[in-house]
Amino acid sequence: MSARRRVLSAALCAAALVACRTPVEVVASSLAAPPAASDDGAEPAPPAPRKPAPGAQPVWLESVEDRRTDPSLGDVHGRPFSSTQVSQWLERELESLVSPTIYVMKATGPGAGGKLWLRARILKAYVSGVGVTKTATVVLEIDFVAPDGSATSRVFRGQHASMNWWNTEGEVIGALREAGSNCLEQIRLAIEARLRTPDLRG
Amino acid sequence: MNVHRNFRSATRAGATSLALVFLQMTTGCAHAKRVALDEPQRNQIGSARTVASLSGQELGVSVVMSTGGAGFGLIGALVDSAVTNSRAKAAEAVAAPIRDALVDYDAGAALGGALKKELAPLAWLKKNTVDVRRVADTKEAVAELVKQSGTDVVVLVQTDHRLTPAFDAIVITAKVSVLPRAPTQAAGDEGSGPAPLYLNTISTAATLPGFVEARTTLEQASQLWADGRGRTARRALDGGMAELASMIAFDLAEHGPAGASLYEAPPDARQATVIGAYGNGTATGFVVREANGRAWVRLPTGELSAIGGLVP
Repeated sequence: MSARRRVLSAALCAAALVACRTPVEVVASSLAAPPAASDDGAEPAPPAPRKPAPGAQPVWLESVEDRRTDPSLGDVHGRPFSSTQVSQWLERELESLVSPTIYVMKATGPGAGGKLWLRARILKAYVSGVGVTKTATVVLEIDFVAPDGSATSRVFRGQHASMNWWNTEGEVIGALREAGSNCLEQIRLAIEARLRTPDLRG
Repeated sequence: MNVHRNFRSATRAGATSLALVFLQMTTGCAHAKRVALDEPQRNQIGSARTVASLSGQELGVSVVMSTGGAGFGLIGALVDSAVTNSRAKAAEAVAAPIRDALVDYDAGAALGGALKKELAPLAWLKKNTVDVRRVADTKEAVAELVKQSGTDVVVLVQTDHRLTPAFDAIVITAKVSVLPRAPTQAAGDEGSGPAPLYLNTISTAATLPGFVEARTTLEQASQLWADGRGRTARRALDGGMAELASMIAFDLAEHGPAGASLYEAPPDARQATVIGAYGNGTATGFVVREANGRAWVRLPTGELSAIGGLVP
């Protein structure tokens, strides 16, 4: 190997190592579910407007509060991640919850009616690494508010653990997205179960 | 004939070189990792700021790395990675009930309160303030923290709390350093930040009551920690944070051996084995303090570790 190639290889290795530890500020748009790529390589189309299923019941999202004390999202093998836009991301994800029986809408003010209201609090959102594995965790506390104003709270933990291949930004953000989806899926099931209770059905 | 003699001579020389290299490696690796704060430096401190940083937002886990594939090249390495990954995924999943039980537990407040209490009696740590904030474990972040502190020294306590691989203990580990604001690094080494006046790794482990080795499963251990809104885990963490702060105050005032030599046990000292820092393996040292069923153990390389049941 020539001296020039050796220097170039060393520089490339050093650059790769530095990149692996560069702090990352995560924005809400990168956490949102990626749009499906088209086959012909064209720009992906914007997401289609959500259409509630016939007979699906509306659930109103009142607020999403970020209870984390600082924007840190932890670090994976020495690479720190942070975000001030976690509440924006999760609010958007909660608002897009839809199933054949329910759809979540952002409440615009009092008097919207409906049988169930949600108040969400973000308790934890972080990534961590142990051994060769990266883990992302999202913990939300949800108040389920009935029409009579009575509320019950429940904590939902979404988690995703997988092999940390390259410690890249995309890999870690993908893990956070999966943890968020896991948490929201549990919330969707809880909403559906709540709407099936005798006092909210019918 | 000469060829044979040359070969024998070369083999003997090679073996001697290997033996020398091995000897150098074994003796060369054994040196104290602790940097003791000496008295003249301590007396020069006019103001201090203690910053406690927690690396994880929740209780972490640890795993035993698989090494069975060593010696089988790339395939062996891939198999080891897959096994370690599977262990870590299992540990993360099984730890969820404990984390749920501790979801409102503020480890930072427990640590900050304990440090305030234990560092206050240290008269030489003048005008000390204690705050808890997240500090990234990078040279740049630490250098920036020291630069902006406005005090003579920063006492940085970088803390980690996690379960051992078998979930039989909760280990709290702190990398503690006393960093001067005035740069002391050698010329041309400005990027590495200030050299610490004091440096050590201090850990405390609380074992799970009712855990039976090779019989209690991860799931059962998780349930024992989590029961009653994490009563046992909270006790381990509260007691651990208090003990850790007490150990830090103790260790800051302790002298070290001359040069970089190892810490030797006094003739009457008892030997004890502790859980390693960050929950990894075990280590043996000599007991420096013992009370309430707990022992503080100094390792030959200077680290201080505590072991025993839950802190009363």
